[in-house]
Amino acid sequence: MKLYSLRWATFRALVIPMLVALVLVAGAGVWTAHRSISTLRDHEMQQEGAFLMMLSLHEATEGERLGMIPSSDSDQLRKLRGSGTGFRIWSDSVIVTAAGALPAADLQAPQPGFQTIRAAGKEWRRYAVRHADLPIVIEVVEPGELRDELAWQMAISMTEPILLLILAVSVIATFQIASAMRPMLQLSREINARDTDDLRPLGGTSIPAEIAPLVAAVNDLMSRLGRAIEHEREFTDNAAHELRTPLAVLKTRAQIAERALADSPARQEELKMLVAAIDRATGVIEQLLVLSRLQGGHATFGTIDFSQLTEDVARDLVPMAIAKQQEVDASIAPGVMVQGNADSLSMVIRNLIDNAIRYAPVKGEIAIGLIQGTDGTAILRVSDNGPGIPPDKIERVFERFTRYSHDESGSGLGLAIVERILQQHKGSIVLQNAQPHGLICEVRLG
Amino acid sequence: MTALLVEDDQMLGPAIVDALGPHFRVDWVRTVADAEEVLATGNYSFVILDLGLPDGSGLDLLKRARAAGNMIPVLILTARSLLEDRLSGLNSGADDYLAKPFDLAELIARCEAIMRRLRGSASPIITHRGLTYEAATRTVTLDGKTLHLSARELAILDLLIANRGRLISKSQIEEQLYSWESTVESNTVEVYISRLRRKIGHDMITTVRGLGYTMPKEA
Repeated sequence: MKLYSLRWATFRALVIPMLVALVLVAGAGVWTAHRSISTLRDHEMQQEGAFLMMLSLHEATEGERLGMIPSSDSDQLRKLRGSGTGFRIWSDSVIVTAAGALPAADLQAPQPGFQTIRAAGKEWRRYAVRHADLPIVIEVVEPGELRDELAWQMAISMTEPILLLILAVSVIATFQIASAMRPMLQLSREINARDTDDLRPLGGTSIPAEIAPLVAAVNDLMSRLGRAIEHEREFTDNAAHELRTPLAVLKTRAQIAERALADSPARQEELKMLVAAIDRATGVIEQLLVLSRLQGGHATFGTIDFSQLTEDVARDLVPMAIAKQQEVDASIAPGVMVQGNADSLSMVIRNLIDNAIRYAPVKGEIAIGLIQGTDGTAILRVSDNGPGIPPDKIERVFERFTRYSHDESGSGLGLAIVERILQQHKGSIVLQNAQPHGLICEVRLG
Repeated sequence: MTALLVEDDQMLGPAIVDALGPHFRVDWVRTVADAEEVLATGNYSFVILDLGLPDGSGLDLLKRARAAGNMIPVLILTARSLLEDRLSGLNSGADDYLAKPFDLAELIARCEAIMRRLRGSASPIITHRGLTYEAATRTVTLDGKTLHLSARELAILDLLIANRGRLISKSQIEEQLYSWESTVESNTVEVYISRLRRKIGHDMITTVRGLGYTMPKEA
């Protein structure tokens, strides 16, 4: 899967065309400005020409020599040179006066009107005006770079606002895109926070129309998945129930036979083993049933007297321990209440006590303790003085069908189911080897 | 006394009939319709009822019978074992509830309990590891010798021996004692248990710390 950022793509889609547009607008602006400046300068050169003509005529009428124009005295002339403009005053083909930066003069006075010439490796704009009656020609020349420079100055003065505009648009776009993306982030956060069996449709108060089809598709998948899981659960439920009847036939027949063999204790023992095997199968079915109900969300949750439940289960199982001559010590604080499903929690307690009785040796010791922690959690601790669990296997005991010892019969589902049930109840279990040997199981329920 | 077994399974039906046959007469029907028809004759003392039947639920049969005022004792026998299912069965008016696969001894004991209640008589003589107890006459013998127990000791023995193999909590014993004493001190139960032990033998009663007392079945 190729990953790409929608945020970045949107940002690019927004900002790149804007940049292109701005560059075009700026370019067009500079070009237009250059043309306007040229027109303006041409106009100015015409005025200068007219002014110089007037000045020349004035000098002439004063009877002075044409070359006597006091360039340093005239403010207007200084201004002329200051702007980079130069001029020549021709009388016929003689240059009477020249001032400012100028290209090399032609042999003849130039033709009247505007011309763009190249001289001394530069471009020049030249304007010439000839007096209608006298042979006086005024030549005004300006370097072309003057106009370019003016246009550039204008372009540079435009750059700063344009950069500011780009920055402003980018910042605003980033925030806007981020806020537009927020519903998607919220959706993914919602999905991430879910339990694996939480198949409720995705919601949220507002969903962008663009991702609504995706949300609808996910919801559709969820509901189909939910139905599939429900079918699976019903199947397990039915299978578990269907198996009970043949097991009942087996057990009844085995026990009838056992009774009929009252005079043959050895054969009776065989049948007792058969009955024990049937009971084991029944136990597995029972656990599958509880698990499937729990996973299907069909288990009823409520406030449960965990003390009473622990005591009931312990009372039910302790005769098994007494038969193994084990010493049982129970310390069950009264009135510890938890939220949960009674069948599954009773299975947790049953599994732990059953394991303790199974793994503690004959004449061994078993302790059952229930207290309410200071934070209100129920802490159930079942310990035995059996062999404990080898340290390298302590992680694996929660896997389905893993038994930490093969000496004893057990369904192998026990601890996997305990863990699963506790997950559903937001509880936890910790297994710990005791010293010098034995196992301590501690369950916490919030 | 005759029991009516309502069970649709072709193999389990005969198995139960064979198992219960030596103890009392059992008639077997396989559908709700047949059950209702034979129940109308009034020939049966109690019913052993399966819930999942081909033509309907045993629970509906039970509810209809109760609605019609038929208070015949009913022992439900079902593949549905969870607490939730059990409650719905008992709420429908069943007297007892046993999950498949059941223990044969348990089934027989439950049926006998129903029959005892029907006869209105108390428990018969119970023999337990050399100890005999006859509730009706309140006589206790140990290895043939009659023991003299106080009323409170007898009450505790009655509870323990009737539930032998099962664990009895301290509070259950306290409840039993309330008929004699308005206030039961915190150590009253311990006092009577130790007196009882002195008379019937220390090993007869096992204490399970934090849970209660039991008369264990022979290991």
